[in-house]
Amino acid sequence: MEKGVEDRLVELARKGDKVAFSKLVTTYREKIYNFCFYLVSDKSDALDITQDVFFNAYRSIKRFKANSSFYTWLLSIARNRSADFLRRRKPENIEDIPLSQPDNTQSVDDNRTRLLVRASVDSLPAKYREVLVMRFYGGLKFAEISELTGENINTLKTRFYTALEHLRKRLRRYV
Amino acid sequence: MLCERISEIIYRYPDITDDEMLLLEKHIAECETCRDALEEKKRVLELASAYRPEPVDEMEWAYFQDALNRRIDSLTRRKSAVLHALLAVETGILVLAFGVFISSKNRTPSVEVTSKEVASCEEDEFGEALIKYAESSFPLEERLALLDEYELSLLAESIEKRCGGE
Repeated sequence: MEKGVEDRLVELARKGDKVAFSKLVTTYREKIYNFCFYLVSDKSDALDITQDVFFNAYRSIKRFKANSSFYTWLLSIARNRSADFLRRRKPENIEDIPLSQPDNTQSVDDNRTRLLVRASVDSLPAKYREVLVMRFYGGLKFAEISELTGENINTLKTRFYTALEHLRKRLRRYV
Repeated sequence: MLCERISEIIYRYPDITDDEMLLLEKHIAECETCRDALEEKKRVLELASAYRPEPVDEMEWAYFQDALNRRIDSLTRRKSAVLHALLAVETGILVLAFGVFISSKNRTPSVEVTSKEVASCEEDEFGEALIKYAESSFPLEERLALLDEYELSLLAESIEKRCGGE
């Protein structure tokens, strides 16, 4: 979406225009869902959190400052909501996660790969997983992640490389 | 020594500079150990990037949007109900204040103005100040509770003047 169009939609949404807000939801819902999914590793939970993100965005859109991007603002809400969720969730033993049945579009190998990588990503401590998700899966720049998390760029880089190294050690036997 | 440097570059791969990329390519052409390390890193990254969130189909998104709309509508209705209730309370209090004013109109004010600033104001200005005070962001009930009888009657008189003038 063009910046000018987005700014106009945000402006309308700030005045309570639900149609404008709905267009913003349609534009960003998948990206926000993906981000939440990588953090919580569950479709249903990720969808619930995504809905919370947009509900809270609607409620507090007057507090959104136009000097940052709307997407980054949504990500910061998603990050906080996911963190709250993970704090509440009972720690899960990765060995207990059932291998879901592959559907028509997925091969058993895809499913196995997903489980292996998911287990590896899940085994990372939260602050490493977060930077891996934002950088590797979300394609954000370190400067953007720094703006979102308030962390120093060098600290984020160190965490990212450590997370990749962790993945390498966990997955090397499967490649 | 160079292998150590290359190993550090592979550790950060693919977040490396163009110069580092050149150095890496030149080195792996000659060093099998580093070439294998880079290949392994590439394959791991490829495997990791194949991990995609479970897709959400159109029907699920439609349900998502519907549920979100219902939550937003319910929020809007709640806000509207609270606003109406507040308006009713404020109107009631204003009527009460006006009643106090009417009942005390013929009485000699026996109240001293406590604040020095207030005492120095002309009555009209003070009346206007009271209107502003009554319109400020504190709850109306609390605001009016802080006014004495004289101030209440002056407030009511000022409201009457202002309404008469409009």
